[in-house]
Amino acid sequence: MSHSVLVTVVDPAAGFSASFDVVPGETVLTAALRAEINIPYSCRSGTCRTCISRVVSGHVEHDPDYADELFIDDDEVAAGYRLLCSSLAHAESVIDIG
Amino acid sequence: MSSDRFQGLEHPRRGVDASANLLKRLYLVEREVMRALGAWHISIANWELKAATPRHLWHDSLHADALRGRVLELRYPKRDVDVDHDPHLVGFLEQLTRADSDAEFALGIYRVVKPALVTAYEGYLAGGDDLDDAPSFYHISHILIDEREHVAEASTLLDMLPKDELEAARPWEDYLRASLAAVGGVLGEGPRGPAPDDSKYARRAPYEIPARAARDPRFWPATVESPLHPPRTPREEQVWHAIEHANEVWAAEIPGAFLWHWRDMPWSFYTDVARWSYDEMRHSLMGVRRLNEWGFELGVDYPMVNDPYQAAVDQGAGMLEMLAMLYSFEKDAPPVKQKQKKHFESLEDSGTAQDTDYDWADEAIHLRFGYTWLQHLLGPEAKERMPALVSESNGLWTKWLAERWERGEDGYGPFMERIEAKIGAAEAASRAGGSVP
Repeated sequence: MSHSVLVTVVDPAAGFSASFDVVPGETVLTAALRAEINIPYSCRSGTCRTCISRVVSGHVEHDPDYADELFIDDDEVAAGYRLLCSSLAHAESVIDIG
Repeated sequence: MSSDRFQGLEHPRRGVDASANLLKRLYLVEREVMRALGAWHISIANWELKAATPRHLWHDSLHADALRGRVLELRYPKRDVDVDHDPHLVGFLEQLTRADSDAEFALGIYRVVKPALVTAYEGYLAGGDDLDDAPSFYHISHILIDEREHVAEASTLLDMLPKDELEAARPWEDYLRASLAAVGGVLGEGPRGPAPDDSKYARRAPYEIPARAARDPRFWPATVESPLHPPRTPREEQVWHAIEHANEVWAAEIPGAFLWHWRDMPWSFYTDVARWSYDEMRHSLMGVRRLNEWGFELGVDYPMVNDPYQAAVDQGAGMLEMLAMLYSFEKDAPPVKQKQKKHFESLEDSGTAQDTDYDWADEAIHLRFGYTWLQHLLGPEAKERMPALVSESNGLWTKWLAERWERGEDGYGPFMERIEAKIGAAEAASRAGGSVP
């Protein structure tokens, strides 16, 4: 990813939706906080699972430098879940944080 | 003295194998003292003692971890470090929890074992080589700072216990001291002898986690920690929050019980859970500090209970369900703490905001602990069982609380009167220009 991409976080149950830009090398959580969008989080290191969310569309992957250290199971990743504190957006994406 | 300087060492000291064996004994004692402190935390009534022990047990977990790591560096097989301890020393350590009172327990830990540990560490340093065995010397010199502090602090704590209880506990202290001497002391290097023939103490039953948490007799009897209605004013928000924080002592007591209940878990379970216990005690003390600053008397103006534990026990839940309950509360906490921090900042209560900020940081660690150890304990069934277990355990407390309120068994009336009187006085002082919450 060489340019910023648009990420939209949604919580259908709460009727919430917000979009923000994620710049190259920045995690989705950091970008959301920079945009003053309140996503539940805690450790910012992929160990507490507070920010676990499901990617609805687009392309979001865990930072490969830390992917092996994260507290998320392979089948959760296969089902589209990501820890946003440790995830990079590679294309315009929609993420369900509800 | 030989004139040939090339013949042997001028200062023969202890070798690697002997050092590893001594360090393994020290590790065992630190580990079992940590577990004993965890076990008894829920049984301790005296507030000052209850407030101090989680810090001590966390220190002891760090000591044990450093010693265990050092043993493994000394060519000691990993498969053996947690097993095959001196059975006599193990037998002695098992007795520490068989106390009958706060005084007996405290005397055993702080007048018998910890002073003996200090002597043992000093002996280790005196008999070793500070260059060859430098990493051990480094660890022990730092552990000694803590252990001497614990012993010194205990003098003050023991002074706060009832005099008659202390006097009645002296024979137990003597019995434990004689028992430790009989196994050759902490390092096992002293003359061994028969265990003291005192059937009154030697036949005491093994300790069991009590069904009810002990509270200081100076406190008013209480059942639930929070009033039924939500806070109606900013001041009530501050006070309600501080009361809940103070009552997090329950969340220190339950991990303490885990340390005792699960005896053969992987080593990192004990360091994680010891930290969990201490963190929650810190949270409790944050609330107590805030309430003290506002003029509330601990356990008199507000209740000090352990209602989540009581709720779990009363509904037949075991330690696994309690771990799931604790994890479920931690799981719900981060968004709440995030909001609370901002909210208390907006109320210009920087003290509570800062307490909440650190509490929130601690929760992140606890979430990892809870997730890791629930998965471990549930094994291959974790994926299927964990969501339901966590969800069901989460409801134990709320269900129990609702029943208490419904039946009028909350016991909150006298506290509510005092809380409202304090808040009223604070608001009056505020209107008059005083400094209040």
